Amino acid sequence: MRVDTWLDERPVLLDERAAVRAAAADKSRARPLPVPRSEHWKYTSTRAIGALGLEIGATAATLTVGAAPQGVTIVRWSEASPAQRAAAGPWFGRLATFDGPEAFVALNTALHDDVVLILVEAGADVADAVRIVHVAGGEDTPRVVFPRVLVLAEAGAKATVIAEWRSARGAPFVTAPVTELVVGDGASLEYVSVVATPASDFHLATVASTVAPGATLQATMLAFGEGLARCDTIVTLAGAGASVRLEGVGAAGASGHIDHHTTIDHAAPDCTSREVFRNIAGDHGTVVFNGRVVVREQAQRSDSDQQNRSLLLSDDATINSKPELEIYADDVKCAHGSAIGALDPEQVWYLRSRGIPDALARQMLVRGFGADVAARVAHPGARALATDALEAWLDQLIAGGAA
Amino acid sequence: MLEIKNLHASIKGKAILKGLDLVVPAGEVHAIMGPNGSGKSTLSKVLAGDEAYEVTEGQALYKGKDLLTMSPDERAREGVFLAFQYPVEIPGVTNAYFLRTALNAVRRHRGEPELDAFTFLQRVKEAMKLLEMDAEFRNRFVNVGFSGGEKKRNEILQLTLLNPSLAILDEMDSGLDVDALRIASRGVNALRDADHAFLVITHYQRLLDYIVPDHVHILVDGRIVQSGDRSLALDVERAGYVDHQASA
Repeated sequence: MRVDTWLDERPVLLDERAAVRAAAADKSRARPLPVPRSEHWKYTSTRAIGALGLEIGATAATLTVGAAPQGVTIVRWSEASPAQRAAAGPWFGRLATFDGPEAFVALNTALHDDVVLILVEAGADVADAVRIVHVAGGEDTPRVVFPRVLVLAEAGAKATVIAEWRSARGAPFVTAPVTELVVGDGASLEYVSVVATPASDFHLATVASTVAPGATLQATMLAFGEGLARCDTIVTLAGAGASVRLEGVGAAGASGHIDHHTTIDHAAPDCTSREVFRNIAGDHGTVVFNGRVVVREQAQRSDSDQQNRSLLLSDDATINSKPELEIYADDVKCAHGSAIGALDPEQVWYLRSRGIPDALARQMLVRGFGADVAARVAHPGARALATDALEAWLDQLIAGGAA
Repeated sequence: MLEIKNLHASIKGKAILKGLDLVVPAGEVHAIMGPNGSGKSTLSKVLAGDEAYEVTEGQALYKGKDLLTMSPDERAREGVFLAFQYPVEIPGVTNAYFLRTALNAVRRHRGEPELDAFTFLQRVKEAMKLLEMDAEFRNRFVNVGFSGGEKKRNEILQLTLLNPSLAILDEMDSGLDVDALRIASRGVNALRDADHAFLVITHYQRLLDYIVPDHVHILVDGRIVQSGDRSLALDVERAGYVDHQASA
């Protein structure tokens, strides 16, 4: 990657982002890619990216945002009013930090060309989902893009944001998006991300959020494919009584590598977190789940539960599942569970005893393994999208001879 | 309908059925009673095709065909149904999707057209009404979070929809209160006619007050040691299985 050249050639910004961008540039010049085999990147190597001969691309060509429903303003940073920039400015780069091993956050912060701002008015109850669609690839030139999104749900607002990360295939494509979600006092935000990565592509995403007092975030992170996807999801429960439901599915077929790294940071008292992730690995695929839960000293009466289940569909598939609990408060309730297995023969037998052929029984069970995650998406349109995407991908995984 | 000759079966090398003979003609209800460990559940699972069990000797003919060489799903499509003692939970698969997939697999095999969504829904609603099941059970995941009684009712719901020729009920009464037993039995009795046969496996005679058998067989140590009419079940309830165990 010619990171130095890209940094030298990028336009100078004299706005609210300038200082953060300069710090990110310094970091990226010093070390553009993650340190191989470091703890944070233990199971996922990004070394192949360095050898792709990438050109930097413009997100204007790859990222589209649907119409803004009533109560929502969608505007690119480059076209935002001073008032809109003043509202978003204090949050930019504050949630997706890069003082640690987050190399792609630094690159994105230093090199992104624009920011999609999604501003939800205080108290607005928005029924229609805001939809972001990113289509990678479809070109002859290997390219990298740095999409950037900032969602600001003001106090008491209620909204849904769907982000779809698709691929048109073609030359290798690297998508390294950063999304920051601010859930204001008593607000309720649902975020659904669907990542599909074909064999030639790399997806390196960070979604970082902060949840204010009495506010709720429900995030559903689906990632599947035969390429490499690394999705870091960071939730800070910053205000008393905040809550998060973070769910996800990682599914890899062929030689795919899907990695969900999550951090839920209980930074205030009386917060609740519920986390459910499912891993499904077929063929030579690898799925990683690393779920970190931090309960700070001041976060008394935290209530957290993390459940991770994994399904191995072939002898050559790999699952790495790692819970990481760091608890510094004493009056807390923290549960976690992790299980890895093949399809349950009792379940296969039960379905077959009702006349369902073996192959179809297995297909139903693989579909069902992730289905409850998609079924818990609250917004009906987002739920349908998540369910269809998951079923289509899992059917493809099974058709690949994995089950 | 069902003809079992000298059936021997084992699990993990341990012999459970040791030469069982039984004939169940169409139109009849046969009850199998026996003490714990006598092989009642093994018989039901072997007939339904549970691959954990190994048949070491003997045969089982269903409508004149060799049942034991068929796969479990083939047996079901041919019209053999096992109501499980412990129905299996399947997270992520809704009851409605499960029922429709099973029903259409059976219908295709019989050369009948698949049911469209509307007709299917009508049938499920009717069957659920008969079994006094709440409509919301359609959209719940199969048996997940169901009480013991709800699971058993869900088994009878499947029985009603799939309409098998031979139904094997494995300890249908375990975990059921009297009301649930009455309702579930109503579902079974609604199917009784000259074309259906039932094998009712139970430890207690109570179930047989609700599903009245034509014949009762006592199973002890993998063999049928005594057969008779309904009164045999009442004798067993009074005296227990002790005498039979001695005679085996």
